[in-house]
Amino acid sequence: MSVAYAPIVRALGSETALVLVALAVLTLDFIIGRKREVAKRRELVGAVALFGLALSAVPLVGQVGMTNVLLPGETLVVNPLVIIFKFVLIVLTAVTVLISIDHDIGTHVGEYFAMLLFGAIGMLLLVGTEEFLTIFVALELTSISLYVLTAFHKNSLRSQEAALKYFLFGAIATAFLLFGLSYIYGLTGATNLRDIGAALAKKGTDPLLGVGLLCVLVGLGFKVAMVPFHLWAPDAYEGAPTPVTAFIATGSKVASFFVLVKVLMVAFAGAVGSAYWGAFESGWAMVLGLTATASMVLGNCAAIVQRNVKRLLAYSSIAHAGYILVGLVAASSTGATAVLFYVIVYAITNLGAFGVVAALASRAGGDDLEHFNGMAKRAPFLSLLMLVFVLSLAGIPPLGGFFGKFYLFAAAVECDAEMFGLLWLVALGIVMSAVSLYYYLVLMKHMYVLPAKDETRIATPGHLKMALAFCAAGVVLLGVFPEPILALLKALVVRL
Amino acid sequence: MNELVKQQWLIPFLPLVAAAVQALLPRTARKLSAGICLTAMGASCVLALRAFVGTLGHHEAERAVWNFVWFDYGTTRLELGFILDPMTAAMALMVAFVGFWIFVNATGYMSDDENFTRFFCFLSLFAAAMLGLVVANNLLMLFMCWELVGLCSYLLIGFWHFKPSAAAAMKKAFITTRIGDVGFFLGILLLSWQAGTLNLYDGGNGALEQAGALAGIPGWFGWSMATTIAMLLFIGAMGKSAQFPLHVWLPDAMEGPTPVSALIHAATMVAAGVFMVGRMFALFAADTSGLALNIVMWVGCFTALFSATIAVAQFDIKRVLAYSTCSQLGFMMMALGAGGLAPGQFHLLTHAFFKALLFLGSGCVIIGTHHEQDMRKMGGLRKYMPVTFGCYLIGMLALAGVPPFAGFWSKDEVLLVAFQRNKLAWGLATFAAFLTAFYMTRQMFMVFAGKWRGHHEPHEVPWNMWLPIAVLSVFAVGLGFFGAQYGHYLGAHGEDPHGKWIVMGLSVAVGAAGILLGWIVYGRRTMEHADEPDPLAVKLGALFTCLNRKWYVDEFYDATIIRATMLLGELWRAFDKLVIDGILHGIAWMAWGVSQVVRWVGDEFFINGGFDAGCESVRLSGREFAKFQAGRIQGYLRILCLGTVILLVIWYLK
Amino acid sequence: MTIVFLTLSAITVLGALLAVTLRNLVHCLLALVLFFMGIAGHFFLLKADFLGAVQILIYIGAVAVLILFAIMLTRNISGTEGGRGSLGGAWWLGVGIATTLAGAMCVFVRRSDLVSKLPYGATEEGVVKEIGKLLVTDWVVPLEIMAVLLTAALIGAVVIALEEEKKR
Repeated sequence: MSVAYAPIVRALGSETALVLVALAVLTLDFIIGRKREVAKRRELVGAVALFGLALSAVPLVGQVGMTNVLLPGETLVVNPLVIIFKFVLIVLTAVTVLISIDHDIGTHVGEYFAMLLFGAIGMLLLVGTEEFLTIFVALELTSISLYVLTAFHKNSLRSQEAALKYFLFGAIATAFLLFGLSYIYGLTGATNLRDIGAALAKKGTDPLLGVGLLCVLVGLGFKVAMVPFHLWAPDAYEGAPTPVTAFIATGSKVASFFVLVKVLMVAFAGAVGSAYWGAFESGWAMVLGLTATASMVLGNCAAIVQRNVKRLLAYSSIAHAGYILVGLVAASSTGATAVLFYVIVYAITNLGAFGVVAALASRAGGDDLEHFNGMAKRAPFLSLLMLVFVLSLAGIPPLGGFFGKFYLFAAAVECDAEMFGLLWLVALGIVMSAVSLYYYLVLMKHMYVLPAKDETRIATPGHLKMALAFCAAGVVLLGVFPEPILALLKALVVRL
Repeated sequence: MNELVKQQWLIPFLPLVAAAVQALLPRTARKLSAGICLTAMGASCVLALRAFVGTLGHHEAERAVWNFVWFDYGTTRLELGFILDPMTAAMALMVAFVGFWIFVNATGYMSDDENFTRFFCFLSLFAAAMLGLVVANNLLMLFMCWELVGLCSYLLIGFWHFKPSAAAAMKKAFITTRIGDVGFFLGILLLSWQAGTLNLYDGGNGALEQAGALAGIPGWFGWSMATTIAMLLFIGAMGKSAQFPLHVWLPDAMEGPTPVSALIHAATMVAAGVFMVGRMFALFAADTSGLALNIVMWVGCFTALFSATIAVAQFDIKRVLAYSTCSQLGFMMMALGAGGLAPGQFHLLTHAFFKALLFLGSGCVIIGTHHEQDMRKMGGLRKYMPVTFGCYLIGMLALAGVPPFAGFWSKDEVLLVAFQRNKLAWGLATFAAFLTAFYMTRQMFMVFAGKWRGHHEPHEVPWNMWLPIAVLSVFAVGLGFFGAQYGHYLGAHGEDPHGKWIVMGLSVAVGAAGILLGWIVYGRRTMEHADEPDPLAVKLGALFTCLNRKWYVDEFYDATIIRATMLLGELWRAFDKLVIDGILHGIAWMAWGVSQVVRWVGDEFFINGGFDAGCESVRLSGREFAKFQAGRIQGYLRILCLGTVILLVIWYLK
Repeated sequence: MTIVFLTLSAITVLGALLAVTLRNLVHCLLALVLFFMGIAGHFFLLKADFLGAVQILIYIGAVAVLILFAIMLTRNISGTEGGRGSLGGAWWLGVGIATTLAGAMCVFVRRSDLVSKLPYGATEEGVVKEIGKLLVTDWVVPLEIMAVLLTAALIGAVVIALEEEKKR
């Protein structure tokens, strides 16, 4: 019984680097930061964190050659798909750091960035494993960091309340997840996805599997904020400091959806069931079909009545979780490709949108819709970027959001070419995106049409503009040239 | 032509660039903004003219397409493409040309609006989208432009969003056309699945080139696949081209600035639906039963007559024109449905010119009379605005179908093709033509004849406003003579002119009769005061009111669909209210009742002591439940568990 | 066996219920200890002696004592300040839903024919040694992640407890 530790260290290069950077950031802030102004501290510590993130991307380059390397018990997996998503997560974290530098996050600067990095580590680990215990521990690492980050507005009661709600909701969801995992383990005697898949294929479906699978879906459904496990999201999104909201809405979602795809497609491939109209069959496709329906309807309808931009985006993200689930319900490799593509597009878009909100809200006096009146005149560049993000979320071509949605729906239609069994879901999705256009346009109306009370220009630092413009460019590029990344994902997903 | 088609993309691209530049311009750069727009539009117009000339001289219907791969998606390969054929060339030229003159007019109309650059930005984007729709050889691209056109019209109709009526109108237009778009989108999905491509023409593999095969496959509702798809697409066209019962948005869209009305109602948005049906004509005509075409014809015929009756009883100068547009679109649809591709498209072209003329003319009138739109408060403008009057008269005669103006020739073609297909449809359409002549005569007399009934002295408009209508009126006169050639140009072969002279004679006769009747009712004695009742209203009584209220269609929708939607919303609210609030209030009331008892008992036994306690308990219980409603975590967790239970039960049952 | 199991389960459930319903924080803690005991008992019952011992040592010996310290160092031991109980107004709703959930799960378990075939308990000798080895070989990655997780949780707890510094 011996294990070669060298490949483990090599596979964990990015994570190790980030742990060291997180500790370095803490120490640095403690030693040098104390005597300086908070804004200066944010710049200093943020720069170090950025440098660390750049550093952590280096080991990924070295891993490119490693195709599907499985380490003991598949607790660690390295393959090109994982590398892509780790890279995406590092980029998302870096942009979040850039947004945070400009944002009031209280006086515990070092701790803030350290927690951000810990969260990122959790996400990287989540992406890079195919084993339930590791998934669970990594999920916890991510969640705990995010709970703490949500509470970082120490003077705001809303932030504290949001964190507590997020934590309690998360704790219950985690309990469900663990409970479900214990059933799965009991049924199959395995914790890694492939062995579970093989064992289930032999045993066939069993009612116990239903309980286990449903409980696992509750745990992961909480992370991706699908109805009815979404209730924490509006409060947490609204209460958390906006850069943290951005991180919850993007990084955490990317990682969770990636895991969800892997878990369902690999471990539970035998318990798909069916969500075809009139031919419902017990299985995760049916469950997700129902939750997707609920998420699309509830998310979009509730978003219409929101007066707060962050809450509006929260409900919008619930609706988007619904769209993404439509791709998963297709239960095909095309569907999985579409889901992964959309998750990337969605994350970049939402990160940008929350970034703009973070930059503008603090200077406009609040994050209600009224505070954004006449933004087009006060901050024309950021308003233009917001326009791009919002149009992408609404699914207007030729932006990334349109193609993402198109693939999702196409995959759902394609999976049953004779009967179009999922057409009902697609039709609902299309109708609901039409509804969504309304509230996105309301936001645009506030920014572009309604007059501002205070017409002074809002100045934002260059690094922030650059980071957000980078996101916008990504959204446009993914819309105009989706081909390269799509082909890559497609090729890799087949080998999943 | 094969070389020319590769430059088709430039036609929509130039206005698109103009729109992008406008978006970045400061608001003060009005001259620069207008200059950029006009240059881009003019250049597009020249390019369209070049393409048009390129298609001339080919007597056979020739078609050049240029497709390119946008990206591969697994087995699905998404291509986009451009097309150059006579229909596209003529349409693109019309849109670019009319659009250009509308832009010129808009520089005058919007000259004192503070959001001048934004207006031109939207206008350019609108023109770009419309041109893109015309030159697209791919349904996906067509759909994208189609949606963009819808978005722009939404923005433009609501341009003066501070008017509540404009805000309502923009929403109405958007929602109504969206209903159509759902059908359109489903049609596209279905077509893409059945044909395996969204390219219209692709050297034998295009979707339209497979129309014959699709007619052989069974589709939904017992129709053939071709008819099913055609009907879904037609729902989209009905929304966009304001066909009954989706016509309600168009008249309300008058709330936008008048150049927008001209652009939407003449050259672009409403034409998109007719153009799309013309473009997909092969699919509509594929089924030998002719079911799809018949439906198109009857919807068109009914809309033509229905809207014409409404137009008779309107007082707003632009509303008359709006219903007239609905009616004329009905004519076009009817022609297409009767199998007359060339007449329908030809009427679309001539109508674009004279309806743009009429709208811009009405814009001139509105500006000349200091933003007055009620025809009853006008009168005698012939003396004050001679140029506008002259042009408007030409437009009116063209619309009324008086020879030799353009409208006569195209309407005659439409009626002829209807005559050959179905006598009843022809009869109804002829009656609609009679009404058209009548209501236009009514409008002329109310606006230009008699004496001025308004307050401020009207004045003639500046040159940049009357020049466009003068230019357009030249075409309103002359364009009709190309009618016969147009059929050949589109590739139609000599048809049997059976009944040609009867139709033409009757058409002239009803036109003359309509004008005569208009003169009898409105011309012999013009209105003296603005508050005088309409002579027709005196004679028709309740029917006039009914027409004036547009057959109560809006009221009907309010009472049914909108009420039902509201009801659904109410139900949702009621769930919130009853289930959660109900528990809250119920218990609060109970607590209140208890407190009453406590108070009563308290008064008896503890003298006022119990009263305070009772009030406190009410307050506490109310607050407690308010907290529950306002997002208490316990409630959240209950819903989480409840959701799991429901999913478990569904799992168990299936 | 069944009687032992049922008794242990009753103790566990009772402890959990009391922990969330009692008003006095110290009493809550004692109820929590009862709950931990029940869990430890279940481990012993399943012949997972090591886990049972760890449960007692860590949870009762360390965690509970730590919580007790925390309570004693803060005010309001008797719980008179906090107002109403922590279950919220419509506690019966929560009880109903929880019961339904448990019931639904029971139905599933009853319908399964696999339950009787599942392996029951572990009887290997030298379990501790095995676990130790596994933790540094096959499960070394989750173990390391746990280390990071604990660090993050520690920092997080400190941040939440800290007051905001005076702004410079």
